[in-house]
Amino acid sequence: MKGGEKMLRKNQLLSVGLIALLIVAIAGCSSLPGLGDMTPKQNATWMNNVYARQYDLYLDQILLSSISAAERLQLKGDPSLIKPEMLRTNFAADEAKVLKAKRDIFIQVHPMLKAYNEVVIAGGVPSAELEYQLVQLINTLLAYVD
Amino acid sequence: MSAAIANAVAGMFSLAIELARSANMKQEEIDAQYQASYAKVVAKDPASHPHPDFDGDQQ
Repeated sequence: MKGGEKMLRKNQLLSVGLIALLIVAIAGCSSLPGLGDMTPKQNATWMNNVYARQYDLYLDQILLSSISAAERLQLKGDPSLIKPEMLRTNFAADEAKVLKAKRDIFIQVHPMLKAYNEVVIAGGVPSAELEYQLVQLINTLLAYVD
Repeated sequence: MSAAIANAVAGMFSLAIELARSANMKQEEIDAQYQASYAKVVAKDPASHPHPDFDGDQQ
């Protein structure tokens, strides 16, 4: 084999190796989750965050305006600290109707969302029915104008 | 020429290692965000605090 042919053969082998590496890299990238296919954990994170955000807005609406921002933040972090005297009274009829509906949805969603999370924590896949019901309820929450 | 190819191969290996590392970091980040979000849900239990009497507290 002449020197030129030897060099060509070597380059061909390296090219094959390079292509093989490229295929492995592309296969590795394709296994990363995309935007369209969220895992149950990512779905749960989205639903948890929407629930928490909407709950914070609800608390803002039912707490007395005299409560300071710092105290409000603490109450949002641990709503069990809320006392009856911290709550607003005298709601307009429309406002009371919306807030009551939101409260009822939170009461309905909370145990379902916990059940969904418990399945995720156990490494399982929550049922499509539970996920559908949760998404519907969350969408209803989001539909209310704050 | 072969040195350039060797450099390219080394670069591919570095890329593969970096991809694997970023995939691991992404998973850790996903787990951390999930834990934080679930902790909020557990805390925000509507049964854990009083609510206004929406039927009686209207103007």
